[in-house]
Amino acid sequence: MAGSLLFVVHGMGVHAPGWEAEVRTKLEEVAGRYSGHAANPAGLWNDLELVPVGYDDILSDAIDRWRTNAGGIADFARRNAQLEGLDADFLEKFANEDPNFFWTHVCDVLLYRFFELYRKAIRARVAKQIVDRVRQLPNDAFDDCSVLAHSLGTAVTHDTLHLLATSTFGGASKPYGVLNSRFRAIVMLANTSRVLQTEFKAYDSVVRGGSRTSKVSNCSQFMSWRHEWDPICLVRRFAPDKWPTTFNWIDSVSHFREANVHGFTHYLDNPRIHIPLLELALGKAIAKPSERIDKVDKYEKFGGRLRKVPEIEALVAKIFAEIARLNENSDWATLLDVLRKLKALIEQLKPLIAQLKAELAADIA
Amino acid sequence: MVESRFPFVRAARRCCVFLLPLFWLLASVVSAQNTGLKELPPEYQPNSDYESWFTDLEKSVDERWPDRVLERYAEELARKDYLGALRGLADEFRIAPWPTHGDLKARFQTRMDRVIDEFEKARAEAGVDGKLETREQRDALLAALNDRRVGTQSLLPEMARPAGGGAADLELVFFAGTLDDPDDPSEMIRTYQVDTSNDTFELLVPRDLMRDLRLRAEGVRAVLQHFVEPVQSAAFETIRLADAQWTNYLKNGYSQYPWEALINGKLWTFSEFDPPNQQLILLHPTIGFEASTGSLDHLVADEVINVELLGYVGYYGDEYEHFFGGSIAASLRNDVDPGIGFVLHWNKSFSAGVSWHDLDDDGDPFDDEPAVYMSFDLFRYVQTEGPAFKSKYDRVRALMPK
Repeated sequence: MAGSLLFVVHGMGVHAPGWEAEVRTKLEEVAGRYSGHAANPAGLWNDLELVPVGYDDILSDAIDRWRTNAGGIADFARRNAQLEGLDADFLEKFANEDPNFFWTHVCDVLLYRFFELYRKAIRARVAKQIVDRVRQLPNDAFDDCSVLAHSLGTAVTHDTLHLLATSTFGGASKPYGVLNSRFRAIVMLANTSRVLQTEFKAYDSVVRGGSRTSKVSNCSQFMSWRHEWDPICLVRRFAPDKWPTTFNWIDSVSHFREANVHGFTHYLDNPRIHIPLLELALGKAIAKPSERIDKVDKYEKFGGRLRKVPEIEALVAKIFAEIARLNENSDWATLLDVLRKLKALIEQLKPLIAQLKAELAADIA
Repeated sequence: MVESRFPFVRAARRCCVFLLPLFWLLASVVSAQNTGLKELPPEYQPNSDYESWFTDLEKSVDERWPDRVLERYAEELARKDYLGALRGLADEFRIAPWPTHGDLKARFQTRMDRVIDEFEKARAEAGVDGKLETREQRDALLAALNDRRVGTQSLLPEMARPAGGGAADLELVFFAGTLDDPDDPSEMIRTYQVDTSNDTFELLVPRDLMRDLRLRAEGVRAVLQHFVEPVQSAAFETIRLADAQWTNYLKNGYSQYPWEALINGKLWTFSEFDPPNQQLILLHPTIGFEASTGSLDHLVADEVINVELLGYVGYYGDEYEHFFGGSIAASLRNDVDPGIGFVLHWNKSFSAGVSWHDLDDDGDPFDDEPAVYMSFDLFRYVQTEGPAFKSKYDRVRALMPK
């Protein structure tokens, strides 16, 4: 049996059963980059159990119901001329907004932020999944458990864990209070707990790192990462000050591996994130100290589908440098030389741009 | 403490309690492998999974093993004499031989004694003089303990980042904060340090002593968890029940449109672990069929859209598995003027009601024969019956007059 648990909480969008497979695969892939797991990346799961925590069924059930009801009634209204007063188009529009984004992403956020019924049902669901699994560990060892959350899931996780730690369940005590139920680590990626905060304020909650004697922190280590180009993290950014760095790490990354820099696995690709995450979750090192430093230092800003970007940047810089050679007093010879060189540079640039465009298109598709 | 009937077992156990730690201590002095380690031993990792620490033989004889602790103090735990069990564990640690690093032992012993003192004070504060009899007493004591910063994890090591360290530079330490100030590191025990120049570790607490500290901490945790468990168990039952109630309310209950969900979220008093058992219906359109009651021989069913103007649904059963309610509804058909009536809802997919239309155009719908209305909670029905519904629906429509 694995010694440690990693609860993984998804973000917005459709998450059918098995959604955690991409996170599992990514963690295996990144673990395989280090000496500790290079020979057998899947051996990671001998020491760590990944536990998916889902709540999407609550949201998708509500959304499906609205779409079905709205669509059915609009159809009825259209077939019955008597009901001209009923704006069938409104319901139709309501039902048929961009199904790939509005219903599956925006609606999730709106439902969680503004609909108290769904918000509270989600928290109860998430609390139940986490506590149910921890109770199967010897001594209810919350200290063997870490939580990894992404995007909307960070707000859900924040609210749920604060609620769990502070609820008295009708008694005098807090049975799952921080003194008894402290997690080893909580790692937030694209943290939305502040922008979506409602009753529980992100900077005042117990979801933060602290020592075992702290009454206001529910984990030993708290980490929050944002991508500098992730639009979700630009509004009401999660950036608390004065949280002790002994137990808290709030930081940003700026790597590019695919078009969607907000993606769960895109965040996990960065060694600054996945090294402490895996080491905390596993409870042991995945690499030698110098190897960790080396991997972080050598991690390129651009890679994957975007690996050609630095080359494109360099060519563009050269083009600008050539153009800068021209001025009011330049002679014909210089002009022709610049034009000749520009042509050569542009010819070099063309295939790179085409390749980038194709790969980005594939990425978005 | 539970004593064996067999003298040799008792003797062996006592030997184990006192001599095994001594054995390990001596072994450690001989080996003295605390510096230049290429890998951290498992005792310096935060996991409380000890499978890798011990052989099966060691687990079976080592009295510090948490399972053994619970066995040895079974009588105290059965009497709910947690203070007695904790004192017993503290006394065992006090007399355990530590030939080296006496200062470390003293610091750990001080924290252990302080935790037990706080337990005793909390007990008095909670008014639990003797043994704990009821869950309410446990609850009160647990609240008093939390106020005093004491819990099941009080003696366990924790992950901390040294000053100037990066995100991944974490160490396992004891007591990163004091019981008076969680941010005061003055009592912290660092267990190892890393030499990044040659990828080696220096153990600041020798391995056998580290194992001893961790087992003592786990022993205390096992006793305190035994005390906390009934309170947590009751809380978990509340969480489990709430989740089931939410599922029945939102997924299996009478459907809600966005505006209804918004209003119901504001109208009733509820919480995450105490879901609402009431539901307001407001401007809720549904599709169904309406049949005239004039003559069974000429029964005509017509498709109808029913707008429930205002209504109420109540949920009952432990998990809100049943509901019942009703509403005042306007009935809209393509062959007659809108009608008015009422609809009753009970469990799951179907609702039924009566509506009156002004069939003779005299301005009074109630002097005409009423129509019986039956509706589907469309989504719920489609979701459960799916394709079967569609064929039935198509057949019914085919029978209707064009």
